Amino acid sequence: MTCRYLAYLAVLAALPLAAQTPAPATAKPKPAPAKYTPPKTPWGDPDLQGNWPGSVNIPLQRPASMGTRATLTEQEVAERDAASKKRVASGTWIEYYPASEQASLVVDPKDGRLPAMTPEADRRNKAVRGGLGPPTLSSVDDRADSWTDFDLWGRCITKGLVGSMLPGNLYNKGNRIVQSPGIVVIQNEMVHESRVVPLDGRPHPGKGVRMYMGDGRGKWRGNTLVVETTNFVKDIAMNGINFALLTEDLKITERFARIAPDKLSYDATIEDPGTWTRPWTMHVTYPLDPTYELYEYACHESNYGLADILKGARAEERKAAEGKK
Amino acid sequence: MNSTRLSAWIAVGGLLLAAAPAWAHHSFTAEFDRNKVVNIEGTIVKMEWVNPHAWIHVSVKNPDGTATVWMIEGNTPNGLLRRGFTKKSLEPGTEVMIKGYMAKSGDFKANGSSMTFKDGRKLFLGSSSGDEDPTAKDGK
Repeated sequence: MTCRYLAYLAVLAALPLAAQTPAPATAKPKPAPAKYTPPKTPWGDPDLQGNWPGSVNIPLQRPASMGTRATLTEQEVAERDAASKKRVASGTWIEYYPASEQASLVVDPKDGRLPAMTPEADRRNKAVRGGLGPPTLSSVDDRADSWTDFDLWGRCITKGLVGSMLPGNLYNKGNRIVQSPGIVVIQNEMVHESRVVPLDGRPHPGKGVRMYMGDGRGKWRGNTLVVETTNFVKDIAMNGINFALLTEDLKITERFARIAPDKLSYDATIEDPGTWTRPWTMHVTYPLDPTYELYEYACHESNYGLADILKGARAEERKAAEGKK
Repeated sequence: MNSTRLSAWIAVGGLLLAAAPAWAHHSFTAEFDRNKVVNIEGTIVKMEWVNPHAWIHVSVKNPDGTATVWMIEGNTPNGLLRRGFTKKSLEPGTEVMIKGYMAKSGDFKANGSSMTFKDGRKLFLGSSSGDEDPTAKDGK
């Protein structure tokens, strides 16, 4: 074995961020899609089963400069795609997803941006952690006093709903739908979630029952599966969407429809009157990918990073204290 | 950790290495020090295929004849598998060179960005050092 320890000074170039260009040209109008009738399961429900990974690159919001323009030009798609390829090629561990012409996941409001928060929600969130606000992925840079300074994803608990459904978010974006008579199961690779949604019309449990992913109830409206989810835990943040703490009144209505043999249309309307001044809706079309393998992502047991970050913060405190002596 | 020994292996860069915030599943900058780049040569002891990140244990021989086991953080196991990294990619005893960023805790831990075998072949490890979650950023 070689027994050398080498030391280097390294200079890393900051990754260039994708330029958000204003809209110079109009996108091509698309022909109206032909009406598609999805296959049926043996018991007669529309068949949505399969692996539908979020392998597409669409940002949550679009730049305000785009206004209500909902699609990118070919040049803008190429630029977004090139920026993504560059980041993957730089050696970081994100996966590559091709850019979509869809300008933003948010489709309502029409400007593709999240609506304003209510003044009360603003006050509520600013008061968290002594004024630092709710924990985010990077909030531990500001304070790492305890596990409460980590967001739920950093703690390997959940990305929540609809955070678990977001496409193109770093890695592990597998989604799988499995059906049986009266039940639909929606699996998310990140973070190892399986939502079991009954279709028999049973009511939600009482208000005392609260879950991180909420309680979903499904029904068919034609060929569209509509899932209404309530009973969320109070004061959770919606990872990847908004780190504001949400209220007990949060309600999410999702619509799943197979619009082609290999395309699943997904919409989610989010209502939380105590947080946002109006409901908002996101949309994405997932591609079918039978070759996509959903690997286990049981994340909590070996989440060494959490302890390492807390230990690192204590080490820096000691260093600072020694410097003052 | 003995800081005198450590200083022989790691140089502390005084330059700003990246301007953008770096996020992955964790904050890279909270766990690792961008200014402490380590280049490690040693042999594989074992690999932990665990979530949210794989950890590679590498035994590094010290000048006094003792050995120190470093833990190198890699990509999530799912991500490594999709990049062609398998259980057979790193057998115990394999000699490797790894570049990474040292943990702020002072432990013998680092975030690995690349690994090179003795014959020059490279194996992707992944690194969160340049990651950024665009959806999270947009949502802030």
